[in-house]
Amino acid sequence: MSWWLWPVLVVAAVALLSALFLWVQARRRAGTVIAVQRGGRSGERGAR
Amino acid sequence: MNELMGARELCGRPVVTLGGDAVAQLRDTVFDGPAGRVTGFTLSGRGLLAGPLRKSLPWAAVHALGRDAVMIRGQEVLVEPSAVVARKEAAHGQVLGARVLTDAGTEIGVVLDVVVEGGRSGRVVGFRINARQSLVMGSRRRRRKVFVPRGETLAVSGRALVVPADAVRFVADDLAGFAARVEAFRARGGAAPDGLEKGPSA
Repeated sequence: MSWWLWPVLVVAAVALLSALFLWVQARRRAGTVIAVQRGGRSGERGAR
Repeated sequence: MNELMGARELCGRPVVTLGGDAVAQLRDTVFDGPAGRVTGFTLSGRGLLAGPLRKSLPWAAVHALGRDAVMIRGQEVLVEPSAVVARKEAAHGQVLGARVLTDAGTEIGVVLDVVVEGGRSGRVVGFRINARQSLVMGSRRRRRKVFVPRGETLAVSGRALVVPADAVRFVADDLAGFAARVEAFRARGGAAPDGLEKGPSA
């Protein structure tokens, strides 16, 4: 294997790991909308 | 009526104390289906490297839900995540992508977003849905994104929402026109006109 392939591989691996990390972070921080049933009780009648 | 906003756009909105400190950002929006009110938010930390927080924000502690930030009195109002939504509820209560059925048994589309009234109200006033062709009279496209009001009889079961059949007469194409449609829907008093009634924006 040519010597110059090593830095190319290292850079590619770092880029891949960075992309993977950013993807995982985006998934962890991604929000959604959740419906629950509280049966009418609530402190959820509005903020003060 | 206060400004309307989609719950999806709330994700990432900073949570700021009245003292001016940004302490978190919103992650999930949690609402009570039958009551039609936001009950709270789950949170994530600020910054690229931060993940979900072990704190959540109950609606009772929200000072105001604004266009650019959610205001709270102080960091001490944040509570345990289970106080807003239990893990099991979070797993089974996801609304985005759920089928929307009328109480007459007609499927009218799938949920794209939940429309929330800002300020101190926290009311869920409707949904943005990917409507089936049958809902959109005169549309050549198979599906179209419209806003439909939430009915008082809303039910949330599994992966489906149920809205009153006459809610489809009050659809709007955008949020600006939707506020008027919601008011008209509330004031209909059983005297809704026949056919699909659309707002000025439609």
